[in-house]
Amino acid sequence: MTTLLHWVSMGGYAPYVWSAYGLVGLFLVLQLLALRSFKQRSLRQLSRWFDR
Amino acid sequence: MWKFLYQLASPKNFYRFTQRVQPWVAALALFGLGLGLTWGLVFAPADFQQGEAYRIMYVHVPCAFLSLALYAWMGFLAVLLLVWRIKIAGILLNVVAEFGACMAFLALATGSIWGKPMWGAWWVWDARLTSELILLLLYLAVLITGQLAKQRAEGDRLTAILALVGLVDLPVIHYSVYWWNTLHQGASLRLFAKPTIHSSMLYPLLLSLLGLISFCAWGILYKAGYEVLLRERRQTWVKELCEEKPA
Amino acid sequence: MKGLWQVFGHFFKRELLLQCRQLRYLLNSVLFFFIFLSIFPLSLPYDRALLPILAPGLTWVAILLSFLISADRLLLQDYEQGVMEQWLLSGDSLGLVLCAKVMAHWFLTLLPILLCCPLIALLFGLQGREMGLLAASLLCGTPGLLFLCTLAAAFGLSLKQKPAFMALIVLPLTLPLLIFGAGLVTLGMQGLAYTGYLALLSALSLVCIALIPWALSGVIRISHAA
Repeated sequence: MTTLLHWVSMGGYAPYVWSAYGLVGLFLVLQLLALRSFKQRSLRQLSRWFDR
Repeated sequence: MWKFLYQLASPKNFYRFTQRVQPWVAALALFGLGLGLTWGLVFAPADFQQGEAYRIMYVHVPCAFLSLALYAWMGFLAVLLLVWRIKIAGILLNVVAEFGACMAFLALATGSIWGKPMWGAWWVWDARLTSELILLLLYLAVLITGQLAKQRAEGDRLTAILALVGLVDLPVIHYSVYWWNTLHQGASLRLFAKPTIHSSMLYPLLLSLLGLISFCAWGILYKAGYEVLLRERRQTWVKELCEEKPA
Repeated sequence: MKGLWQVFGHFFKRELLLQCRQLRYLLNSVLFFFIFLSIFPLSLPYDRALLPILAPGLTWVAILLSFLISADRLLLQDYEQGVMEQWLLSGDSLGLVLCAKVMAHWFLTLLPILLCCPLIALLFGLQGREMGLLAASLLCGTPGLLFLCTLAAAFGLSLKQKPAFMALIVLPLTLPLLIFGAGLVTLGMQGLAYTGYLALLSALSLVCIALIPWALSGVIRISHAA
C-alpha cells in the first residue's frame, strides 16, 4: 500500500509528473478525435463533389 | 528499392501505400507507447539525483526528438517538391508541419514542467530551450503561410521555400544563442547528463520513442491519405474509390 | 545581351531615382525608428546606469520593426503596377534585379540611420566610442536584416491578407543578426573583445546578400505563376 501511495505521489513530484503525462495523453486523444473529424469532413466533401 | 520509391510519387500508389501500411504502424505505436510508458512510469528505478520527477523524460525526450526529426523530414520534402516537382511531397509537407508543431509545443511544455522542480524556474534562456522556441515559431510560420495562399499548389511551394530557409538558419540560430548564453551567463545549464544512462532506464525510453514516432507516422499517413483524395478528386481513380466506399 | 554589372547598375540607379522622388516614405520609416527609441527612456525607470545597458538591444529591435514596416512597400508598388511581370519576361536574372533593388534601399536608409546615432547616444547616455560601435554594428548588420524583411514581405505579396504573421516569419530568421549586433556593442561597453562578433555579423550579412535574392526570386515566381 505504501509503495502504491509512493508511486501515485511520485515522491512528492506528483503535480509535475502527472501534468506532463496528462498533457501528452490529452494531445494523443485530441489528435485522434481531430483525425476522425477530418476524415468525416473529407468524405462529406468528396461525396458532395461526386453527387453534382 | 528505388523503383518502389519512384512509384510512391504517384498519388494513386501513395494512397494505396498509406492504406496498406496504417494498421502495422498503428500496432507498432500501441506496442511502443503502451509498453514503454508503463515500464518507464511504474517499473524503472528512481533516479539518484532527481527522484521520481525524472520520469517526465519518457515523454519529453520523444517529443523533442520528433520535433527536430520532423523538421528535417520537412526540409527533405521541400527539396523533393522544389527540385523534382513531386506533388505528394507538397501535400505531406503541410501534414508533417502540423504534427511537428504539436511536438515542439509538447516538448516545450513538458520541458518547462520538468524544469520547475529541477532548476526552480519555469523558463531559462538556455540555448536548447530558445532553439526549441524558435523551432515552434518556424513551424507556426510554415503552417500559416500554407493556409493563406490562394491556391493549394502555390501554397505548398511557398511553404517549401520557407521550410528550407528555416532549415538553413536553424543551426546558425542555435549556435548564436549558445554563444550569447555562455558569454553573458557564464556556465551553461545542463538539461540532463545523457552519456551514462542505465539500461533499465534506456530501454523504456527507446520503446516510448519508437511508440511516439509510430504514432506520428500513423497520423501523418492517415491524414495525408485523405488529403490526397481531396486534392486529386478530379481523377477517375478517386471517383471509383469513392463510389465503392460507403460515404 | 547585357552584362551582369550593367543589369545591376541599371536597376540600382532606377531604384535610387524612384525612391528619391518619394522621399516621404523613407522619412516615415526613419521617423518611426527614432520616435520608437525616444519613448523608451520615458517609460523606463529613471536610472542613468540602466539606459546605456539597454541601448544596443533597443536600437536593434527598433531597426527591425522599422524595416518590417517599410519592407512591404519595397515590392508592393512594382508588383501592383505589373513591372515585376516585365522583369520575369525580360530574361534578366531576377535574383540580380532584386539584389540591386534591396541594396539601393539599404544605401538610402543607411545615411539617415547613421545620422540618428549621435542622437541615440545623447538620449541613452552613450560614450563616443560606444556610439561608434553602435554605428559599426548597424552598418554591418542592416543589409542582412533588410534582405530578410524583404523575404517576409515577398511571402505576403500574393496572399489574401497580410496579417502580423510577417513578424512571425522574420523574427526567428533575424535572431542571429540581433544577437550579434546588440552583443557586439554590449561587449564593447564592457571592455571585452568585440571583433569576433563584428566579423560574424558581417559574414551573416554577406551570406544574406548572396543567397536571399534566390529565395526571393523563387517566391516571386510562385506568386506570379498563380
